[in-house]
Amino acid sequence: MARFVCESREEFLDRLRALVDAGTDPENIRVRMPFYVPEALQVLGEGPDRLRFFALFGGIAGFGSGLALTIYSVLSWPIIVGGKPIVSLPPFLLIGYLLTILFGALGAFAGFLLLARLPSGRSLAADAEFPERFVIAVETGEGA
Amino acid sequence: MITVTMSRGTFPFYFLALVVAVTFFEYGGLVAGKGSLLMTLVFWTTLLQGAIAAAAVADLVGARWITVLRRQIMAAYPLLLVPPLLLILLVPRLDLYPWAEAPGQWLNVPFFLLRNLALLLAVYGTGRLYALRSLRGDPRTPRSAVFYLFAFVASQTLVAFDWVMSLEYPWISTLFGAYFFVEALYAGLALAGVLCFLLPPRQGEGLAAEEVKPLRDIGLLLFGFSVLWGGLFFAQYLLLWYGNLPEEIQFIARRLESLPLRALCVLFLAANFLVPFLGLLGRRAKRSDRVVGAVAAIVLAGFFAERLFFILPAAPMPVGILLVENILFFAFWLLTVHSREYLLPAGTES
Repeated sequence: MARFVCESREEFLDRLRALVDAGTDPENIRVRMPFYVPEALQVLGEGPDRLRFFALFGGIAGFGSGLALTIYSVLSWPIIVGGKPIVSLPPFLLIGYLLTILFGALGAFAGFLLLARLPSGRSLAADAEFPERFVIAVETGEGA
Repeated sequence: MITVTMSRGTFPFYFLALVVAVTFFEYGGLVAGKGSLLMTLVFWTTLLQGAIAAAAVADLVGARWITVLRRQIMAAYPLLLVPPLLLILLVPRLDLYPWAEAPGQWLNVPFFLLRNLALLLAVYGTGRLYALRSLRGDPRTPRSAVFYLFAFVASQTLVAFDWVMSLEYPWISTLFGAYFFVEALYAGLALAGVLCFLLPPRQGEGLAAEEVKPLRDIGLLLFGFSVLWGGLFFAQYLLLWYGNLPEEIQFIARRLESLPLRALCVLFLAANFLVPFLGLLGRRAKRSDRVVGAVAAIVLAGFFAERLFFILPAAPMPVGILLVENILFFAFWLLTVHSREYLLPAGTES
């Protein structure tokens, strides 16, 4: 594994551009930044954030689960309340809405952990070694 | 392509022509229905007050999009004088209200006119002060924005309680006032969205090319307001549905039993909640002026359908006159915004 340590943001970006221009596969490049530098993602050609799909599908699953839970419950214990039909959607929408938010939020959090490969015992570089520097690591082979 | 423009000298004449035209269509004896003036008044009061209110909120919180659309939105502030004039024109139509025959302490014709006129004039006064200060970049702008918003909230609450809810007297819903002013803000943002599409801000108006970009914030706000509107509508509906009390439920039951009104209900639910929610969910849709403009136009159509849903059963109206009056208003609003360079003092801010 080749490793480059840069002191400044500009030096880091120049080095990153040079690596990508030289034909290094962005998939093999790992970067570590003391603060977020959006240009680095542009250089690496990262696609749009996939996290939103976790939130979207979590939300849809939550809405479906909310409706399923309420409808299953009232069909299992059918008690007529206030002369309303057994399956009456208006109050069930509330449960569906609440579970949309819950599952959407949990889905987004789970997606964040998955995409960020957390929790992980294996880190790019030891924390103490490069506290305020930019680090570029290029993986050269399997198991590097 | 609009080629007619107004100047400060000709504006009052155009204004007078609008009022005379509305009076002619309303009282010219063309048709029998009485509700069209009320419907036009309610709809345009919401739109005109809401647009300035959306700008005032944006000024208060320091939103970026208002810098781009400030002159377009503020150009319509003189139109805030239209609702008080139309309210005076509405006086012969006040027999539409069931309380007119048996006036009470709150609902009687003189007090009704007095409080509504006073509030509409207060909205005009504070709106004028706010618009002029905001255009000048005056440091006292936030204070006048707060005054305007107070007047706006009070006025829209009275629009809800006095103009619309009392048509169904003694039916009451305490949420109606809040529902109306949130809707007015939503409608104001939708109007800003339509503006982006119809009269896009030009680079020559003190704007650099990259400054035109923050228009996508309007898409984001429309999306957010669709959820808020859906929540308020649902909160109101759920309580009526659960309680199932005859004096409360008759308002909805009467409107949902016949077909045209039931279709209107589906239409405005789709237009004010489903279309903006699903249409503006994607990131790319929010960045497209065309998509935001189209969704905003659908939202405005939804509000029209919703107001019709509230007012039509209590005050039957001829569709032709209703359309003519609203097209006249739309044309006048567009003409005012189009002529902004001649109507407003030269701006120094961007």
